[in-house]
Amino acid sequence: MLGLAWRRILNRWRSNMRVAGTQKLSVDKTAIARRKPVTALALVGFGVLLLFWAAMMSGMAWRVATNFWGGVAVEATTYLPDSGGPIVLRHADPENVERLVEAAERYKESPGPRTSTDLRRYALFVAAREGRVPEDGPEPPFDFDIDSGHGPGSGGSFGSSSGTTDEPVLISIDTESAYVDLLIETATRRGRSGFRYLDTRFGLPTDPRTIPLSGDGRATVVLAAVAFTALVAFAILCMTLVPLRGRFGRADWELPWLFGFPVTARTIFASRVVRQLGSLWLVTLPLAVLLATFSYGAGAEIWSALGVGAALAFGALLLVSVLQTVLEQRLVAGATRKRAERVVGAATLLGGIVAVWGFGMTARPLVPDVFVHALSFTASTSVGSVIAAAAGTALVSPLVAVGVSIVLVAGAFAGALVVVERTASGGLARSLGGGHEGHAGVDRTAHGIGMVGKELRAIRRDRQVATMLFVLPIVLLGVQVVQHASFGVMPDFTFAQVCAAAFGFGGYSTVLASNAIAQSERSGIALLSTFPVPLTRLFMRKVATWSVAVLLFPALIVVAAPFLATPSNPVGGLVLAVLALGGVVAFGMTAGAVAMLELGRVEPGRMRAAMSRLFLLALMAVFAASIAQGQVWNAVVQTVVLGAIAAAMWQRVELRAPQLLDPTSEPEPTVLAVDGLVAVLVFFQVQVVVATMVRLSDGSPDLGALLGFVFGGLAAVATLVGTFWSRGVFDLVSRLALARTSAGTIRDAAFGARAGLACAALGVAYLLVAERFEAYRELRAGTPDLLSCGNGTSVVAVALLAILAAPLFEELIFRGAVQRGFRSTMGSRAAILLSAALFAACHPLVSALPVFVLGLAAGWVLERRGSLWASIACHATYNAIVVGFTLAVN
Amino acid sequence: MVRAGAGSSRVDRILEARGLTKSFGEKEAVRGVDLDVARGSVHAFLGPNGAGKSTTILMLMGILRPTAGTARIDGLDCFADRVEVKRRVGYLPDEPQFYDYLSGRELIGFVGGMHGLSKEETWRRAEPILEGFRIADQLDEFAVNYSHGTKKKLAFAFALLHEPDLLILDEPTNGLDPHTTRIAQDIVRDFAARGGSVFFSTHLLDQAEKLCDRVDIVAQGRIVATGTIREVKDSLAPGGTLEDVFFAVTQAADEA
Repeated sequence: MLGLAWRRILNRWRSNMRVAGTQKLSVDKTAIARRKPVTALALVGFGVLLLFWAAMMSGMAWRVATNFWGGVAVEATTYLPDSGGPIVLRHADPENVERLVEAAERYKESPGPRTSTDLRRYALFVAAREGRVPEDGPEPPFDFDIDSGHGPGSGGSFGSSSGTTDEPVLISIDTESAYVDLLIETATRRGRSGFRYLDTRFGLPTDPRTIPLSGDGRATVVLAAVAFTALVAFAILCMTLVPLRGRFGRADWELPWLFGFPVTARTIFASRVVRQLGSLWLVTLPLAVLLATFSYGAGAEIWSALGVGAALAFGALLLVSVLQTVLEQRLVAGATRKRAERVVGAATLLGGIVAVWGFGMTARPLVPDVFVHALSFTASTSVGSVIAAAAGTALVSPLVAVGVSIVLVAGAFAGALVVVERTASGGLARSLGGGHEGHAGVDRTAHGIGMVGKELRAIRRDRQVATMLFVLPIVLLGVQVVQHASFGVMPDFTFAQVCAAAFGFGGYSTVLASNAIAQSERSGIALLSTFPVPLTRLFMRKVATWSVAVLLFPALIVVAAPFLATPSNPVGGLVLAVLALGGVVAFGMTAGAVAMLELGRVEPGRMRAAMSRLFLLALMAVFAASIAQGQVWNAVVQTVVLGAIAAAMWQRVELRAPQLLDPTSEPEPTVLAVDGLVAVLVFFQVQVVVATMVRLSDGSPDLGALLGFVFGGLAAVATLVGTFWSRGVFDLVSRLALARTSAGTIRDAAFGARAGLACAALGVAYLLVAERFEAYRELRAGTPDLLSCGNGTSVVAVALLAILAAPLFEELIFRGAVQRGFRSTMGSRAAILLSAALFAACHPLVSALPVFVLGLAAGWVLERRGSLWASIACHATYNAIVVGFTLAVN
Repeated sequence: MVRAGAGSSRVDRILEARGLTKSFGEKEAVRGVDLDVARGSVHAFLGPNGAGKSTTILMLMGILRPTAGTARIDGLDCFADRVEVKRRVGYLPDEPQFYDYLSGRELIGFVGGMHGLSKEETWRRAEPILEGFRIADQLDEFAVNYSHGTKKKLAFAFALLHEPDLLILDEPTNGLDPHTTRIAQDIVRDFAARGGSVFFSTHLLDQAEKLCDRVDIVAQGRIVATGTIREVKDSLAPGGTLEDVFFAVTQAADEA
């Protein structure tokens, strides 16, 4: 059996190598060899993260369980130790409070990580017990006084039980009385009796060795260890089940082949389990380390902590292997696609919950003093205390923990065997027979569906993607609500924030699902390539369908927004809401393009996929922030930028589309709009940094602006040269349209200058007309303006900036790089419009309109004359006149 | 290369390839293939496994980009004008792949839609083909459950749906039972009789002999013989069968 398993592991390894070998073709082999350790490292890191999530999730589940049904007597968490928040102790059994206080005392004497906060907390508990502020010892962090009542006290409250043991004991030290009220209210709502609840924001670190558990402690701990192992196993299973999807419905060639040999189903199954274990071994180590950290942090001896870590980790993984094998056998070989989809949908959902819980739980305690608090945090979670109890308490020895794991796994194995033996013949027969099963859900009247129709069907039937898009966001919200117990603690939202939330909802779903959506097209590419429609257009239709479909929840939120918060300005609010929804679509298109690019990679890189995910999340955060601020112009600017990014990404997809089908087909070296966008970014970043530096050292804003412009421009040009060269484009002068045309540079420039003159006339007219409006004057007063603060000596700097530096660099970037970049795959009108919109978006609102017109004109002369010198002359003429006019008026 | 027969240059050609070459890294799959397919003819592309037949066909469909050389269909470059080319060509891949979550009926609707056909028109055209192949009763299954033969039949229907000028079939009867093979052959004959052109690859000699007007034999990525069946037979193995010719030229290529 082991031999069989080993050969299969070897075979899988080799087949991976072989696939890699044939796919990489002309790719540098040493580069791949170099990347292996990085990949392994990334995998280990991912594994650690995953397990941390899993552990957090089980801790959370445990908390929820104990809250609802009672259970382990001690519940404690340490949050925000230094923030000075309130503390509430609540126990059905007053004796437990005494125990806690005793524990706190012992904690003071026991070795382990300790901070001043712990001492303060200790003092607090002593004070709480004795009903007074301690005279000696560390200074208590709060004002503290005693009130015998339950209700919201003015300062704080110490409520003792009023006779019956059923009545909870409340100790609260109040700094935010509203918060305490809320806690009391929540606690009351959750049930009066049998409810044990300690702390919400910080509590007492528990040393489980010193706290006898109420009821049958031994059974509780064993149960907890079992539950914990099962939960971790379940979490890993969810994560590993999703990739299985690619194999659903495909014939499992191996199983029929193996059944051709004289071996029993049992042997085959066992060897599959071993193989699964072989592919999971990488996860075992970080899991063991993590669990050991947990139990060490909870106070176990180092050796028993390591032993428990190893035992629990191995047990959990063995469990995963067994379950995964059963599911794989049942799903891949036997079940119908529909059922398989259901399972994957559930796995995606549950895996998502793991992730969400993980995020929610880890964010708070890990911010300050990472290491000390991480340790004390693990010790004080229920998971930590359970493991510690299993590890080194008088109640349960490590042997018991190991024994529990073994029994658990053996039971699962035996159960799995029964399932496999029962289904082996049936499932096999079906997989061999081609598996014909009717599908009642199919629409018999379906006709003439295009790309959109196909995608709408996919939304209905593709459970994984549908879960990610439509169920996970709801779960996400639900978990947050459950975790934070009440809407009441949430701050009052502004209308803009609600719009931002709507965008975030849609954007987050798209990021989650974009890769799965792109991958769902993999089987269709061959078919799509036989249609007389460009592949990129089909992809765009596909992604656009999803991006619009994903608007469901954001649209609901936007509709509800006026009821949640009133916008300060109805028109502005409406614009903001529209931009938020439009942002979802633009962002969806961007994410879809990124995923499509990933689909076309000859060599799928996990690191690169992670990087592009990060890029998308950053983009999403920037856009959401701009919406949340509620400044309409800022949101418009971000929308334009997002649209430009989406267009630039789709341009890359278009150029790379032939590579989807033919990996050896390298795209022609071309100027891309993406390069232009990067140049824009560099231009502004460097500009701001240099200008700030100069201002800080010298104090002259004019010089700062000039130098910033020059350095920013130079950096942007350097970036352009670098990216062009890396793409194999070397003829920069002609690519940026700087070469001499047949008409001659002078004539081109003269043509441009004439257009500039016309624009300047419009610009001056705009200034004169706009000045009559109060709103414009207010807006202008609020805009930092170089010209208005200039004095006599800086006119030279301003002139240099306006007539030389700005036209040269801005035209190089916006017309030379961005417009020509878009032009390589787009029509002239779209390219001019996009670059002009971006150009206007990079200016303050007061000047956006004339600048947009200037951008259109400069773009038009470039198209007309084929020379960037024409655009530069146009821009310089415009600037000279408008700036001169403004200076003269001032 | 043995060029049997002459005078083909005067004929109106729907497909024309010159020096078509494709290499994958070091490996040259197709080396300088010239093809001429006359309008209205049935043309076989004959060769052993791994000779470069599918690679050539993928280049004709604009799916692979030729390393060197050009291919033209109806005067259009197969890679540069691939979108236009696909209006004129019906293509049957060797291993058809469909979306798992669409049924056969939906797939037909989808393919028709992609070719710009209305739903009535799509079904008017599809129904006789589907009836011919006897797969009308399986149309409500998800495509993922189809057998290889059913997939091939469905893909055949897709290739015919937009009434192309040229059919490019990659191993059209591979995996089909004798009954379906005959139906497929009838369709090819019918298509040619109505003025269409057919270019199909195969390694089945009898099929080539039965169906085609002209034949190109390819081995090791090169054309080793070209002409009508009779010309090829007469010049390379007088009095012999097509099988004799095939072995003679492919073995010569192997030794070269």
